[in-house]
Amino acid sequence: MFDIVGFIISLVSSLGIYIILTLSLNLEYGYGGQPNFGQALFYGMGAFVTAILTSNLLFLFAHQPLANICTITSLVQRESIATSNPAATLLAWAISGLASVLVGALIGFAASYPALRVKEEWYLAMVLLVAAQIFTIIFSYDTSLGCGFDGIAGISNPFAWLTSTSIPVLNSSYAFPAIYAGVIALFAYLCYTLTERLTNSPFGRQLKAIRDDWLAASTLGKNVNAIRAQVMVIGSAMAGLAGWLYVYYIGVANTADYTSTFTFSIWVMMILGGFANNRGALTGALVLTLINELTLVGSTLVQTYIPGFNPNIVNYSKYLLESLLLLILLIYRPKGLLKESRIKTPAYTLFKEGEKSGE
Amino acid sequence: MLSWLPGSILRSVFESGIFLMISIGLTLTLSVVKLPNFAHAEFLTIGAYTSLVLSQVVPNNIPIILLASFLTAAILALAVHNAVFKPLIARKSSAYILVLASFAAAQFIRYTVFIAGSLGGVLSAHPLIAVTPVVYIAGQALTNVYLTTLIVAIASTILLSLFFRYTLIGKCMRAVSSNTVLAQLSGIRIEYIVSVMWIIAGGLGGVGGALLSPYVTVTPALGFNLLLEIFAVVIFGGLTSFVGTIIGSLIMGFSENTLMDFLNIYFGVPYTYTQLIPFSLIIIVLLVKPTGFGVSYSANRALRRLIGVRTR
Repeated sequence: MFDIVGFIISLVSSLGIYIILTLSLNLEYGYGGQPNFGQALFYGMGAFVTAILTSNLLFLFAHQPLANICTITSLVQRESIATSNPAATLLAWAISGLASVLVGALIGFAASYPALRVKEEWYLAMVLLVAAQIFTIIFSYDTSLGCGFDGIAGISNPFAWLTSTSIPVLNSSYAFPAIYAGVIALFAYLCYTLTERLTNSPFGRQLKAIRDDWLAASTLGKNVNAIRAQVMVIGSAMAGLAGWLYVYYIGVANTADYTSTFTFSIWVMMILGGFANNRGALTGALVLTLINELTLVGSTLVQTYIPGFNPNIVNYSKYLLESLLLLILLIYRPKGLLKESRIKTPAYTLFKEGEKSGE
Repeated sequence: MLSWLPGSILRSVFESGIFLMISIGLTLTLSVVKLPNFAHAEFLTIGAYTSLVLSQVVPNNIPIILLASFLTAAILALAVHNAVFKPLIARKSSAYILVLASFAAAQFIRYTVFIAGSLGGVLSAHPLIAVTPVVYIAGQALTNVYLTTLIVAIASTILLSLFFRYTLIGKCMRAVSSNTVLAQLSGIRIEYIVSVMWIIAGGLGGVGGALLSPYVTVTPALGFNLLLEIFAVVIFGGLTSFVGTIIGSLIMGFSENTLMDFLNIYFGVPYTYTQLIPFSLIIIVLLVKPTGFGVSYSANRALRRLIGVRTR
C-alpha cells in the first residue's frame, strides 16, 4: 500500500534541505549578485566532510580502533554504534555539523577571491562550475579521500538509537525519521529567519546597491570586496549546513548527488520564486520539491502497475519539465512568481507606521 | 623508451581536430552575439545521433552522414536561437540570465533525446561506420575516420577564413562582431547575419559530433560530458579569436593525450584524472590571463604579417 506517512516525512526533509540551499543561493545571487554555479561544490563538501568525520568519530567515541571507512565491516559497525550508543552518535552528529558549516564558510571565502578578480560577468560562473566539476572528479576516483564511486555509506539517522529504547511511541520505525525531519525543518526555519534579518537591514540594502551598481556603491564608501566576500561566506556556510543535514537524511555521501544538474535545479527554484525575495525562495523550493517527490512516487507506481514501461522516462520528464519551466519563466516572467520585496529595515518600518497614523 | 610517443602524438592530433570542430562554433557565438552558449554541446549530441540513425540507412557513407549531421544540428541551433535567445537578447537580459537560459535549453534538448532514445532503444549504441586502417605511419595505423577528421577540420578552417575574408556575409559578420550598433547603423541586417552565424556554429558542432561518433558510445549525455572541455578550448584561445581556438584545441588535444601519457608513464598518474588538466587550466587562465594564451594573439598578428593581410 502507498506509504503516506513516509511520503510526508521525506517531503518535509527534502523540502527543508532545498529551502536552505535556495535561501543561500538567493542571498548570494538574488541579493549579492554573485552567480554561484558551484552550489554543488559547497553542498557536496559539507556532505563529504560530514561523512568522513562521522565515520571516524563514531569509532573514536565508541572506543574502537579506527578502521578503513570504506569496508562493509566498518559500515556494519558504524550502524550498530548508531543504534546502540546515543551519546557517541549525537556528539559525532553535532561535531560534523559544526565542521561542515566551517568548511563551507572557508571554501566560500576562497571562492570569493576569484569573484573579485574575474573580468567578465560570466567568468565567475565558469570558475565555480569548473571547481565543482574538479571536486566531483577527485571524490569519485580518489579512494583515499571518499570511497570512490560507491560513496561513503552507512551514515545512520542520528536518532536511529530510539528504536532500541523501550519508550512506547518513540521506538517505532516512523519516530526517528519524523524527529529528524522536524530537526531539518527547524534548521530551515532558522536559516529563513537569519536571511530575513540579514536582508531586511542596512546590510541588505548595501548588498542590493552593490548588485545593481558596484562602482557607485564603492564611490559612496562601501567596501565592495569585503561585502561580497561576506555574502559568499554566509551563503556557502548555509550550503555546507544543508550538505550535513542531507547526508544524515540519505545515509550516504556519493558524488552522483552533487552534479551541475543539481545546481541547476536549485537555480530553477530560486528563479521560480523570484529574485531577492526570501518568501519566493520558499515558494520555489516547495514547487520543485513537490515535482521531485511526485516523480519519485510516479516512477514507483509505473514500475508496479505498468510492467514493461521504462520508469526512467518519468525521471527524465522531471528534468524536462524543470528546464521547460525555467525557459518559460525567463522568457515570460523573468522576475519570478513573487516580486522583489522592499527592504524593511527597522527605520523603514517606523516610518511606514508613522505615515499610517498620519503624523 | 619512447615507443608510446608516435601513437600518442597521432592521437593528440586527431583529438585536436575533433576539439577544433566542436568548439569553433562556440567561438563564433561568443564573438558575434557575445553569448556563452552552454547548449552548444547539445549540437554535437544531435550530430552524433543523426550519424547513429542515418548509419542504419546508409552504413559507412561518411560524406552523407556528415552533411546530414550539419543540417540537423544547424536546424536545432536556429530553433534554439529563435525560441530562447532572440526574445532574451531583445529584452537586454544580463549575461547570467543568458547563461542560465542556455543551460535550460541544453537540459531540455538533452532530456528530450533521453526520452526519445529510451523509447527507441538507442540510449547507448554505436553507429554503423566501420573504422578501417588506411595508411601506416611509424607503425601506427591511420584510419579512414582519422583522415576524414583531419581533412574536414583543415578544410573547414580554410573555408571559414576565406568566408570571413572574401564574402560579403563574412565581412558583415565581422562587423557585427566588432560593433553591433555601428553595423546596424550602416545597414547590415543583424537578424539575417545572426541566423547565418547560428547555422554555421550549430552545423560545425553537429559535424564534430558525427566525426566523434564512431570512436565513442553514443549516449544522450555525450555532448554534456564534453561541455567543459569545449569551453576550455575556447577559453585557452581567448574566447573570440579564430586562430586562438586552433591553438586552444591543439593545447587540449596534446594535454589530454601526450601530456597525460607522459604523466601516466613516468609519474603513475591514473588516466581517470585526465580532465583535471584542462579544468585546472581553465581556472588559472580565467583568473590570471583571461585573454587566453598570449601566443594566440602574437601568432595571429605574425600570421597576418606573413600573408600580408591588413588589419581592419
